[in-house]
Order: sequence, then C-alpha cells, then structure tokens
Amino acid sequence: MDGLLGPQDDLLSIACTHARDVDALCQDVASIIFPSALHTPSEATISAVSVKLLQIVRDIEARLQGAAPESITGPLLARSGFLRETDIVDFALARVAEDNLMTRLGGGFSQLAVELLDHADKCVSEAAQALLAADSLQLRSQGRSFLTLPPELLYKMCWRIVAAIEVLSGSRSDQIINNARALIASYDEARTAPASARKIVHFLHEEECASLSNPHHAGIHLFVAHLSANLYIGHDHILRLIDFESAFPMIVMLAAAGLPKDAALQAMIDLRTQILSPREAALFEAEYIHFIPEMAREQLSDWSSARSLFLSFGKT
Amino acid sequence: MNGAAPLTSAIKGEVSSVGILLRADDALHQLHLRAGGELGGTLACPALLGLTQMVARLRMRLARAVRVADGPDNLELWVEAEPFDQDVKLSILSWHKIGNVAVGSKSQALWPDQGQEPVRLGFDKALRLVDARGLVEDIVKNTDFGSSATNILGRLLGSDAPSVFQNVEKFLPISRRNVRTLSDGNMLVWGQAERNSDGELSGYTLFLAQNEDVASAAFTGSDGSSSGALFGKQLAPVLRQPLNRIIANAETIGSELLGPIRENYASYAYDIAGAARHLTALVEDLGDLEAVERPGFSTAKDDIELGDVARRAAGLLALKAADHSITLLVPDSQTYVPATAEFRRVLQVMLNLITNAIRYSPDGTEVQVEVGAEDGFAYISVADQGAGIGTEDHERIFAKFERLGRTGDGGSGLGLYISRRLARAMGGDLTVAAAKGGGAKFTLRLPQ
Repeated sequence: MDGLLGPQDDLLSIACTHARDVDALCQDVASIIFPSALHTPSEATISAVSVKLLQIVRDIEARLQGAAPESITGPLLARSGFLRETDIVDFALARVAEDNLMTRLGGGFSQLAVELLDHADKCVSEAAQALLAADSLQLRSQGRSFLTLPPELLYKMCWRIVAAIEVLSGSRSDQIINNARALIASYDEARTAPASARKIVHFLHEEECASLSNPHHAGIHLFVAHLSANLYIGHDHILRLIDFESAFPMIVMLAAAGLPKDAALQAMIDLRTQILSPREAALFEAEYIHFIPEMAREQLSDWSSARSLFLSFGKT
Repeated sequence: MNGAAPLTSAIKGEVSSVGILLRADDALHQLHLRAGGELGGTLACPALLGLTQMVARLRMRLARAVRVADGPDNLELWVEAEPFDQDVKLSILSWHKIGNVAVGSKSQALWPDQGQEPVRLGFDKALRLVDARGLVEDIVKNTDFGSSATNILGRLLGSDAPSVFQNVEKFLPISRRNVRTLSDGNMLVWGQAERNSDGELSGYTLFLAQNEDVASAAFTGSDGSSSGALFGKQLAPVLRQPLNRIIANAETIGSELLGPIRENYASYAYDIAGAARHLTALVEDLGDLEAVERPGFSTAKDDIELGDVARRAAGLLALKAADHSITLLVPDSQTYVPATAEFRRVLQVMLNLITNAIRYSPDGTEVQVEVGAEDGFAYISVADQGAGIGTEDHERIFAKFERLGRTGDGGSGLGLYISRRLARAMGGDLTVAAAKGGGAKFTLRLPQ
C-alpha cells in the first residue's frame, strides 16, 4: 500500500480494517463451532523444547558419568529420532508451557503450599513440604532437570542414554549401569511436583478447596492438580491447554470445572494476561456464563481422547 | 477436593512381580475377593495391578490416585507403591468411595466403620494368645493369655469355631465373615498371618467385631433357620464375583488407566461394565425372589414421593427408551403424591414396569407414567401403546415364570411376580388393565 495515494489508499485501508474484523469474527465463530486444541508450535517453542530436552539429557549424563560442559549423547539421540518421539516431545512441550505459566505468575513458590505446611492432616502437610521441595529443586537447582520427568520417561531416557554412551565409547561400563540403577532407584514419584500437588488436592476437604482455583495463591501445580482431579484429564494436558495460543480451550476448561465467572476471570488474568487479546477478553465476557458445563466436559473429553490417540502412536 | 479422609493406619499389601497378591490387610484382601480374586491368585483390581506391575518393571517408587471399581461403586484410593526385593509393597493412604450414578440404592457399607474398633487378638507362632487390644473384657480373660487359639475360639464361637480355626491353623487369611457365638449372638471375624521383617511367619492376628446387622438380614427365615436360602446366601455371591471382576476390568479399560486406547473402544468397555452391572442386578433380583417368597418377608416404611420415584426410574431408563425412539412421559416436578413404602422396592417395581413397557412397545411410541391418589391409596401407573394384554391374562401375567408364550426378548418371567409380591408386602397391590387407545396399563397402589 505504500505506493498508493489518495482515495485508493483510504479505500484499501478501510477494506483492510473490515477484512480484519471479518477474519476475527470468523475465527470467533469457528472457535465456538469447531473448537480445537491442536496447534503447530512456534519456532520459539520448538527451540525451547530442544533446549529443555538437551538439558535433561545432559543432567542424566552427569549423573551417570560425571559432569561435562556439553551433552555427549544428545546429538546422537537427536539424530536417531529418539528426542522426537511423541511422548518425549509432548512432555517437553508441557514443561515449556509450565515455564511460561510460572513466569506469568511471578516465578515464586506456592503461598498456599506454605500455609498447608501447618495443616492438621499429616498427609497434606507432608505433601505440601514435598511440593515446595520439588518446586525449589526444579526451579533453583542446577543439574536436576530430570526430576520433572514422569517415571516411564525417566526410565526410558536413562537406559537409552546408557545405550548411547556404550555406542559412542564402544564398550559397556558396569559403573554407568550401576549409576543408572541408582538414579532410577532414587526416584520417588511422591516427591515430584505434580504428584505432591495431586496428593494435596486428594486429601483436602471440599471447604478448603476455594483457594485452589486461584492460581496466583495456589501456584501452578496446585491449580492444575485441582482441575485435573475435577475433570479427569492429565496434568500436562491441562498445562498445554492453558498456555494454548487461543484462550478458548482454557475458557472451555474453566467452564467444565464449573468455576464462577469472577474466579474464571481472575485465573485468566493471572495466567494469560500478557497474551489475552481484547477479542478474547470480549469473547470471555460475552460467552462464559452461557457455557453449559456438561457440554464443556464433553468437548474436553473429545480433546483428551484425541490427545491419547495421538500419544499412543508415539509409544515405543 | 475429594475430602478423602486419611486412614488411621495405611492399608498394606504385597504383590509379587507377576501380580500375585502375597499378603494384604483385610480391607485390601476383601476388595480383591469382591473383585473376583482368589486366595493366592493374581490381584483382581486391574488399576492396582497395573500400578504394581509398573513399579515391578521400572523398579521405582510411584504415588498416585487410583480408581477401582468395587461392585456398584467406585473407590478412589491414594496409593504409594515401592519395589521390595522382587516384589512390590503397596500402601493405601486413603479409601474414598465415589458415587456411581447408575446404581446407587443398593450400596452397602463395605469398609468397616473406622469409629468401631474391633477386638484384636494376637497369637504367636505356636498359636498361643499373646496380645489382646480393644474392648476385650467380655471376650478375653486373664487366664486366656498363653492358651491355645483352639480353646479361646471354641469358647467364643461354638460350632463355628472349627471353620475359623482351620484357617488360623494354616496361617491363611480369613475373609470378613459372620459367625454365631456360643451365646447365640453374631460376630464378624477376620484375620491374617503376621510375618517378621525377614518375611518369616511370626504369628496370627484375629479381629472380632459385633455384627448387629445380622439380626435384620434378609437371609434367615422366620423360624431362625436359613434353610431354603440357597440362591441369596450361596449362589448369588458366587455369581457376583465374576461379574464384579468383569466390571472392574471393563472400568479400567474404559478409564484408560493402563494406557490410551481408541475412544470407541473405551465406550465399548463402559457398555460392558454397564451390562455386567445389569446382570449383577438380575442376580440380586433372583435373591429378591427368594426373599419375597420367604414367610414373614417385610419391607421398610419410608416416606416417599411417587413423582420423584417416577422421574428417577424414567431417568435411569432414558437411554434404553431413546434407543427405541420411545418417549417417556413423566409427572412434572410440581407433582407431589406422598406414599408410605420402601423407596428401593418401589423404584425396583417401577424399573421393571417401565422396562417392560419399553420392551413390548413399538418404536416411536409413548410410555406414560402417571401418579395420583384415590380411595386412600397413592398410585403410580405405567401405560404403553403396545399390543396390550387380553383380559383373560390379567391375572395370569403375574404368575411366576409366566411369559404368555413370549420367548427371546430378554425377560425371565419373574419381574411382575416379584413386583406384585413386593407391592403386597408394602400394603398395596399391582394390577393391570387396558390402557386408553390400546396397550397395557400397570398400576401400583401404595398406602398414603
């Protein structure tokens, strides 16, 4: 348009504005009629996933054979396609989403978990302690990124790295195998952030659950664990739906969980404020109260099934 | 969220690397049996089995909320599992029943009341009494310490003692069971062998608790004997076990607890679970048949509202009706017709009547459920637009096993017989007449 002058310029400008409005309107309508929770990750996300996976590989390698400045087996595992397996990429995408959400919440620890340290129920207080410890180790300790892995993936990655070391060194090392066994034996799922958050949610009574719907106070793990227990969908799936490029999946999820509009709005502001567009805000304002929880649950169930199907193709 | 109460002490169990339940506290052992498991057999709760097998394979400690089917109910447990030698140790930290909307009325208290402390008797390896906890004053005397289990059980349990002692003697677990005491009371007994840290047998622990429910249980006849109660007491539990196992497995498959499956497969799994639950209900109905024929059979007198019963029954059968494009017309929520009868039994009769109406009506027709009151009785009627029942058959249709010549439609010929017996036991009656415009109209009358 730079080269145009006069009335044509104005006309095109007006047409562009209208086109954008129509496009926005079509997207809104389409997202309501054909809601989707699948999208292509951005370059930045792909890069973050790659960095995260190589970090985990390097941290596991350090446990097996001592620290090194660069990952030794990472390039081999990447070339072999192992680091592109569906469940591993899905895990890394969820961690990237988790990082994004934690950053938006300010990166601190869960205030609610601190309060729960004094809870009368020992199961809750111990789980709160485990959650705080897991968060600290995950966020503030170097070399422990593998603590975020679910057990199946830690097992799979650990032994695949052992095999890659053998290929690269040309020999089998009992020491490395023993270190791998020790690393696996030291794993305790109860000490991971998602499991300890889920345990807290499991043991808390209904009347104590109000603050779980406030991500700023509860922290991302407890907020997600609460939704997960409520909606019967996986922790990582929820993280990805919240951090989705469109606000629509999160709106559907909050409606399915039956969150009142004020609490849902607060959660949207806490977790998506930097990426919430005026159009999405208007959509939320106009439509949230019209969502029928049962239909929202059905939609979530469809997404969950699609994801399970997708992940099952990645199983090895 | 769940408000799951932590257990006062964790329920423990040990499972071998190939899934055999090696040892279990009573609650877990009972759950295993209810799910169709056997002594020394594979852990029969698929979700728990899946978790233990994952632990055995990965050699890692896992901690998860696990859902298991328990008859008509679902349980949510918080389970922590860890590898131990070649086996897996299970600790269940919470035991929380979550509702199953499909079948809610027949649930029982399957987990013992945590508030009622059972008496706990500890025997050493030579089966001498060495420890007694709880309210033991009426059960154990000072001189019993050091005595053999045979003496103590013989003194307490009379003729039922040998069956209990057989398991104690062989250090086999005893499932929770009712036994008659020598003083003609009833007592719940269960127990298990104890092992030391090296896994060697170190003794036996026996639990005893009063069983006050037995006096009102439906299985004893008016003369106090249990003769004739063959199905309800002996066959029904045997039939329920495999059905419960089917339900448990189907629920696990449907919940994708062992991994993702295709969505329609999950749906089929839920269908299987639903069908098995219906079969369980049929087994219970056959037990009911036995109960209603017993002399002195009686029902509870609840204050119920017939419109509510009609809506609930129609709600439970809405999908079945929709399959045949049949419209169920029920009283609106403003309708209020009180009656005095046992809620569970009235619902049972209504489910039978509406199921029959759906079964014998052409697709696309209407089934009308109406409630009202006349002549001092409340009534609830079900009218269909089927072929109707000839006047000459209006009494015959309530006979036991009467099918009026029909076959292959899934009916057993027991439903209407049981329903009428139930109606009469509640002080009312069940009759049939011709509906307006053809079809049959069944009317259940109950005292107000």
